[in-house]
Amino acid sequence: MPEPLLEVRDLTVEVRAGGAWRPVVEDLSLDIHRHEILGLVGESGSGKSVTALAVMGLLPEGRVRVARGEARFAGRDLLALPARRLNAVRGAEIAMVFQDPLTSLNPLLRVGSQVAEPLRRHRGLSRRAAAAEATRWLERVGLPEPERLGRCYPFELSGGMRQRVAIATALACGPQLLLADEPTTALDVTVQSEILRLLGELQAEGDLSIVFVSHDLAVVAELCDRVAVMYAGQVVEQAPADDLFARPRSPYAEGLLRAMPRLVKTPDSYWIEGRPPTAVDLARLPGCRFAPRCDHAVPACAEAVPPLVAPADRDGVDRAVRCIRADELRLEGVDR
Amino acid sequence: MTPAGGSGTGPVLDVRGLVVSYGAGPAATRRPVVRGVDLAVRSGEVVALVGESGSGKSSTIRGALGLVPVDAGEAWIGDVDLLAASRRERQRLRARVQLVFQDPYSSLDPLMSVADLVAEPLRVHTGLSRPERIERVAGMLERVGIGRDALRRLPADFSGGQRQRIAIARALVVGPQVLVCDEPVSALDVSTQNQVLALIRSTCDRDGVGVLLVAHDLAVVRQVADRVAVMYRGEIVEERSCDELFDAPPPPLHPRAARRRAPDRRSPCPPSVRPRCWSPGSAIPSARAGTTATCGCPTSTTARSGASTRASVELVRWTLPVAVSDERSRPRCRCRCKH
Repeated sequence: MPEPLLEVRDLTVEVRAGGAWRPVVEDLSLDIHRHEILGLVGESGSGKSVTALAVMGLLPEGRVRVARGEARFAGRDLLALPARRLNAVRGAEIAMVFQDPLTSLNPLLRVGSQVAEPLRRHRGLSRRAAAAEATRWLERVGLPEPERLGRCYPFELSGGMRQRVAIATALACGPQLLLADEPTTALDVTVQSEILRLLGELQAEGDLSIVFVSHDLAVVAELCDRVAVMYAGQVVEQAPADDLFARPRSPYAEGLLRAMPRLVKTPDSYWIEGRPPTAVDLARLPGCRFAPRCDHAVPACAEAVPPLVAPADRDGVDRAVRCIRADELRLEGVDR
Repeated sequence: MTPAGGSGTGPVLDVRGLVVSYGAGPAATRRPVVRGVDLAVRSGEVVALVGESGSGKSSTIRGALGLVPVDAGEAWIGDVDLLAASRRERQRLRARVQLVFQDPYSSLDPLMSVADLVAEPLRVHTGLSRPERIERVAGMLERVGIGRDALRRLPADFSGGQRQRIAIARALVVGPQVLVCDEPVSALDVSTQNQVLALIRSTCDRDGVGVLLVAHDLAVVRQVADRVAVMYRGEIVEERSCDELFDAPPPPLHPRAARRRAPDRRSPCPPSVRPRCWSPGSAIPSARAGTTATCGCPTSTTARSGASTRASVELVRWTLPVAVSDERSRPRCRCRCKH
């Protein structure tokens, strides 16, 4: 196995809630390999975005902090890097695309100059060279008339176009890793499909890895090579996408798959009752965090947090699951 | 709770010839976004209005409910035309048509208790005393699966799915005949979408409420709708039963569109161009009352041959294909294997 591009080890992020620091992401370990698209899925509040923001050093100061852990990227621990050195990495070697392009783009700058900004800053291009390169990128991400649209302000573009601009800005300096935080959630299905295809193409032709954060498994199925399912700040299952969809091993992953809306009519609709625990609830949950919502829970589930281990009959597939009943349960997958 | 004065088999909401345009100045210079829409919702029926962003779905419902000025059209609620009604009459009619919005995080006032939020329509539309109102609210909350103990809590205590159910309770508490839901689940987690959809469906089945559901995700529509109206560029280009829409044979593919359709990232297809059957700039015939509008595509067919219009087929195709055995709705790249 070659060395991973990004190696997150024992990452613990805490928030200040109810007068104490409480973990929202706990001992999370993830590897992102070169030239791979990793899906990070889970419900709202499961810690997906916090993980991505922590790696980028973008957590809001004061209320959220990284308590321990490291994120090794090209031999450096991003979490221990001083701000100035981190700034040199962000935008140049690691870039991020956010959910809502209307808030992530600067409303007062023309989109062309927003794409040019990282080029000037990180690659030291002249104003003119950066502008030409920016136009080339706008064309690359599929904007029609890149010269004209480059002179537009974000509000003049549609949601899909804005997200393309955000992707162009992120990729302009040729990063090795792209963190995409729900980049298609705010878009409608046809535009979503185009953006996914664009990300897939950009990944396939360059030396790029993507961490794709989403709550929508249909999107993840379309794009990702490998999937990590998060619940309440922990990875509960990790597997190649095909294997996860064919046969989930954790009840939570199965629940997400069953709840996914389908184009074929399903006679009885399914949802996961209840809601993910909050940081405050977690202090009262000594065992498996999903157990209170789990159909398969037994008394032993509430005793200790199950470890993330490889299931017994994994047939040589690189997968891991956090459930004490993983080997005995026969969980249903879906066709892809 | 049954709706007051159910109107038998006639539509509870009947929109005719609705035209909405935005911009300043005389009607001729404004940009029309809804161009002659006819749409009827019957009691106990879920009608889905689908289409891409910008196709005019939201403008249609806003126009029909009198929330934006309209250029022409009628919106009959029972036997009254809301758009021609006086202010006072409109106010009264609003108890019969209730709205549920997309984002339950912004549609519920964060400073009001759940009891006050859900009781507000009762305060506006009925003469009930406060204890009576609270009693009705508690019953309604139990029906949507929230429970009485929620009364004194704030929206912040609830998850997105729970908030959307509170918003639905607020809409239903005055016993409306029509419930208009504008993208009710697109802001929710996949894990809770079905719960809200099941609630909408059961509301319709149990109380005979007519539901107009605006959505862009056809997988969502498939689960709840009886009938589907497909909008494209401000017109309804197709309207048929949900089963027919999903099971209808597609029209033959235009070869260029077939080449372009390649959402598979491993494909060697040219950079993305969204397939369109409508050649750019081609005029789309405007709808006249009583006729079915179709798009200007040479391969588009009408319901006569049993096929769908291109607009709806494209929407079906572009909905992500997980867990669909039907080859038609799997937008896999054709170029990869054959061309």
